[in-house]
Amino acid sequence: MAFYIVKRIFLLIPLLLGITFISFVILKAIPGDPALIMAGERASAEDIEKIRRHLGSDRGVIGQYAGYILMLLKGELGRSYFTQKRVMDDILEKLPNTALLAMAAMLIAIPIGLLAGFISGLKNGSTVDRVISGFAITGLSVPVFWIGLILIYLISLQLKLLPPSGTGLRFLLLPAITLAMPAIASITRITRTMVIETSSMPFIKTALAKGIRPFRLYSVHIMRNIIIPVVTVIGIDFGSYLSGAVLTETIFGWNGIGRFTFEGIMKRDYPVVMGCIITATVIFIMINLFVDILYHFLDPRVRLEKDSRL
Amino acid sequence: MKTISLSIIIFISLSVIFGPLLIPYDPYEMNLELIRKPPSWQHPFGTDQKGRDILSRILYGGRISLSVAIGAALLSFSLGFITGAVSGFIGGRLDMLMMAMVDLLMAFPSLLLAMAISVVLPQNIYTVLIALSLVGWAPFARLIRGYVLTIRDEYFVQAARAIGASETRILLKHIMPQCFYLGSVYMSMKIGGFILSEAALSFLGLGAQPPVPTWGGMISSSRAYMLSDPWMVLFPGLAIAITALSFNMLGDTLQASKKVP
Repeated sequence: MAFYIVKRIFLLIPLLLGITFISFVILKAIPGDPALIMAGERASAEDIEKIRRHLGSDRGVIGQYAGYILMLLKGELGRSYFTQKRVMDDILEKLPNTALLAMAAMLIAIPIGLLAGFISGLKNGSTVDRVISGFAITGLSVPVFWIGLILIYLISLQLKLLPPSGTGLRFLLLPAITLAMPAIASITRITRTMVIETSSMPFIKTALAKGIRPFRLYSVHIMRNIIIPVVTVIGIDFGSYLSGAVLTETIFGWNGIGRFTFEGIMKRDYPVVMGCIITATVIFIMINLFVDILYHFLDPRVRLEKDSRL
Repeated sequence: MKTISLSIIIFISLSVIFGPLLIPYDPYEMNLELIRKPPSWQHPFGTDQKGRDILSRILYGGRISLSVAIGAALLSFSLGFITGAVSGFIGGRLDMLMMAMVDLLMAFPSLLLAMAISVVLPQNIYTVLIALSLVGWAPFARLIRGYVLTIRDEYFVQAARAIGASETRILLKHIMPQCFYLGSVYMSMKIGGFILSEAALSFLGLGAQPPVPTWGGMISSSRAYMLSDPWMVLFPGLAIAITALSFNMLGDTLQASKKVP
């Protein structure tokens, strides 16, 4: 078990190297001096000189890439063109807000998605199932930013129930619902599929034949079997929630890294955009690593399978 | 389901292709007397902040948004199809390298990577197309490569080899056609996603620049007027949602009829 975790963490190294390489290539594609880009347009001559030394502009591409990695390792993502603040400082300041928003969205999405998926799967083929499935596929097809705008219009502007934009607990509900919408849809869909698949398995028939109470059947027998695919889907979709956060935070004026990314894009503040994307990707990878490790606790079958391959 | 979604898709495609020819308004022509007018018989979807007819902008915008989204899906499909088939067929070092590349691209949250690429490219209608394709080919490559691995030792391949077909011929004439169906089903399942990604990127102001209409761009530029004139946001959003929904529904029926991962 511990060995597996250590192995997985070591496997992250080539992946992170690759990610920094891609971001380095993108940074190189921007017209202009990379040192100037990292330092920001109004940086002092010393700063630029320091970064140039780090990047090793005179050392050829590989040397420059090595310099770039060294800078990243020190947590140095460059400075904003406009505010001159270190991008890392801004990200650290805004990250808790984004985490809060993402958690709130998950707290909404997971129970609703599981419940809807369960009902839909158990009543496979019924009208209820069709309605839920219809909602689920619609939820996957409607643009997140448009849902956000419609919610602002209906709930904040017309009904005046909740404030339209800002950061803080009072403002949390609307963006969280918006961000949760596609998550509810995909959790519902995978839960439904898995419930249908599991219900037809022989061990369910056995349990039914032995007179199991329905609650125990759903909560223990079926739940245990669907939890892995559901957790996987949440992990994989996390990447799209991060992209969704860019749109949602922008619309609701939520002071997180999503809106920070958007402002970076609008102002072509390259260090900000690249810094945010590297951060988001690292978070995404960590979440998926966590999901993989979680499997070991959730499903003994995975443990055996993976351990035998080691 | 299949008939409904297909007819909506055909209806949308026909209106986007031929609609602009029938509509009497120019999507670029500003009219100061018609600024932000609510829907009426003359302008069924109303007019925008520059007095332009929203319906004709949606139809023109649809030409751009849909060509970009479907174009990106086709380009991703072609890139992924070729690299996946070659990589799986040849195997060895090349395969390892290609799959490392694929894994790497898939480690990024895809829309965020597309944003990063779009930001550094020059802004025009091809920006989003290129960015989405550079990111989007990876899952196709992985799917096709996996399928090639399962068929490359089948009897029909051995038979072709036995009668002296060259490796290139086997790849082009025997392996690739086998993968084509799987790949195209998978692509049609993904078009809805490409439409949403295009909408998101154009909403963020990446790609085609105003006054060129795109569905996402129209929503973004009319956000400020939402309180007084909600239809300006409503109709382009509906266009995106209905189009993506019908493609997703079609994808679902295709997936149900043929097992595709």
